[in-house]
Amino acid sequence: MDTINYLIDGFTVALSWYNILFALLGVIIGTLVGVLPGIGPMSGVALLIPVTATLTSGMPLESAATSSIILLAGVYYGAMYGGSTTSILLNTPGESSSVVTTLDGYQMAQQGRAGSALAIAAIGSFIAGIVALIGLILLAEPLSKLAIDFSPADYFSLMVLGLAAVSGLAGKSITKALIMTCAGLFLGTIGIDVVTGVARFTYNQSVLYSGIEFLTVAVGLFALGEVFKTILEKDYKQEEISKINRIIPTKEEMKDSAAPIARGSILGFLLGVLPGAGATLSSFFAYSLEKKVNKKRDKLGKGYIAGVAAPESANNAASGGAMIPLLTLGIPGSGTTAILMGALIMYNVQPGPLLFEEKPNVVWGLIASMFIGNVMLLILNLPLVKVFAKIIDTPKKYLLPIIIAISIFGVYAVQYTTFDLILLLVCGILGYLLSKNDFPVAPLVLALILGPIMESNMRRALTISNGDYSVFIKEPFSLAFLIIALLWIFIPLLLKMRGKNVVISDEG
Amino acid sequence: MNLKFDKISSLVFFILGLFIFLESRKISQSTLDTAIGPGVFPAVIGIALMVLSVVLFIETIKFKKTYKIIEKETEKESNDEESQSNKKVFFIIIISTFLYILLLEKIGYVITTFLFLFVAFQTLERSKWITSFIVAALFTGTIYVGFVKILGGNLPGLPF
Repeated sequence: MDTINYLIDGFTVALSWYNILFALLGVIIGTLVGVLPGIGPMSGVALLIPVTATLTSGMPLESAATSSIILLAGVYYGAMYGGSTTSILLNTPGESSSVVTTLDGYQMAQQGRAGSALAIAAIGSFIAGIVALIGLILLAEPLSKLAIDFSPADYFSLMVLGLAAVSGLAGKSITKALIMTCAGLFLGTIGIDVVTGVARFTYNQSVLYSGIEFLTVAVGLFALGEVFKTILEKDYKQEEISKINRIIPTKEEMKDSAAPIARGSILGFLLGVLPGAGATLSSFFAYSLEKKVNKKRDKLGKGYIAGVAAPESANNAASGGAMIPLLTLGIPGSGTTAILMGALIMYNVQPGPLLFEEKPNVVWGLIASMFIGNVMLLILNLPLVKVFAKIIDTPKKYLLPIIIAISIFGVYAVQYTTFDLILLLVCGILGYLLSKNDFPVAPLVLALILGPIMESNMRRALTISNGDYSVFIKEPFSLAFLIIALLWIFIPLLLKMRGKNVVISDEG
Repeated sequence: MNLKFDKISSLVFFILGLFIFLESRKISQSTLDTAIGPGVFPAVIGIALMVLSVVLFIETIKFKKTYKIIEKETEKESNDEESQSNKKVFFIIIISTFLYILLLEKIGYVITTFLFLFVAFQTLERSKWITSFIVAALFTGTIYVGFVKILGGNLPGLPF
């Protein structure tokens, strides 16, 4: 009963006029982010944090946090809707989570069925979004109740698990992913230590006392890194766009996609809840599941609607599922949710089990707004798909410098220091070099955000145990998390050694 | 994959790890004697980084052959004329971004942003300058007026 009351309260929050506006703004920008190649959900969300910070600056802290997170989450799941558009029309995925959609989506477009493919992608995304939300509502309470009893040692190990999961799946080389994780943890220690007040790694530079701002690093590594990559690889030629004829799918297409949407939604949700897996992996798995179980599987790859319906549902369900570990445990499972967590921390809202008790308005307002946002996306996407398709035409010549300008504006508007701008540029160049050489950058950002929380839990655990390190393997939850973390790293390694192909998630 | 980059980066990360480890020893000595001081966590990171860099270095030696094959393939692509001109464009963009950042506080947001955008547009593709001019002016104006005048944000406006 409680849950329903909370949900009703959530809707009262989400249905206030400004929160509706924030959700609408979020999903529209999200769709644009999804449509435009070159900006992914991670850089999109990071770029918008300063904008929302300004928009909400007059409000009380808690409602400002609610409104911001409503907008930013809207960008996240909106991008999953938009990502399919370029996959289908251009054969170039707007997001890595829509890579598999190109297989059948582009074929359909070539056959003059682009409209149906886009419509099914939107409908599938909608259904998957709702499935994920129901799962979120059902799981949120029990999970946060379970987590509320976690000791500092349990928490520390849980964060180790989160980092291990993301590193284990993040790139071609686990060693490189772990190196990036350590680098992120190190960056997190720079500044004044909160427990003792000792300055660490600051060398009398006053700009370093408050620590390295995650926003600067995230925008630099993701947004600028991506821009530099596009420039160097001259990826900015205009391409031929397929025409959209009818947007209403035929009855047969609807029938063919019903089961794949259902399968994709459930699979995507489950994978989304797991840290590290995320939207990209779930869309790949959903497609390979169709290849195994679909009755007309021979048609896959030749423009079969199920090849669009399943992965597009899966990636949307995964983005909803990924909110569960973030909100209930305070463990972001991917780069984008890590940035959402960073945004919440900026507003002094600490995601985790206490969030549901202390700030129910923030959580339930967000959940309710995701219902509203999904409805908006469905309504927007069906009739407006032609308009969004036009946006692909935006010449990259204008787009790329504008992304740089927005990054600089965003970072400066929050930090007001030239130091952060230089850090931004350095991170941009490093981001390009590192990801070009298979050093994944998402684990670094995740570690930068989790590091300080992880350290304070570690120190609390050791203070309780009087410096006895065995506390981490004596407590059952903690031990279990550490074992899973180890398995997460070593199972892919073993599989690789046996010469098996391991699917990886480059979305982070 | 690039053999040279991986070798150098394993060295760089090893030095970083060593640096973190040594510096964190200094932190722990300077504080009161608690069960666990502020230097322990960084020290662990430092050690982990050193171990991982050694692993990476061993990997580069072990997989030398694979690296060489991949390198040969990418070499063909990176030496043509197009990639040379891309590099030139890239350096111009980096330098103008750097100047933009340095001058932002000195001569204000409006002039620097407009100039940066105009230069960057024309660098990426030389076409009608009037369109670039209008787009750059529109973007700068919208951000400045929207952020400072409507939302009440703070930006260094004009030098005068």
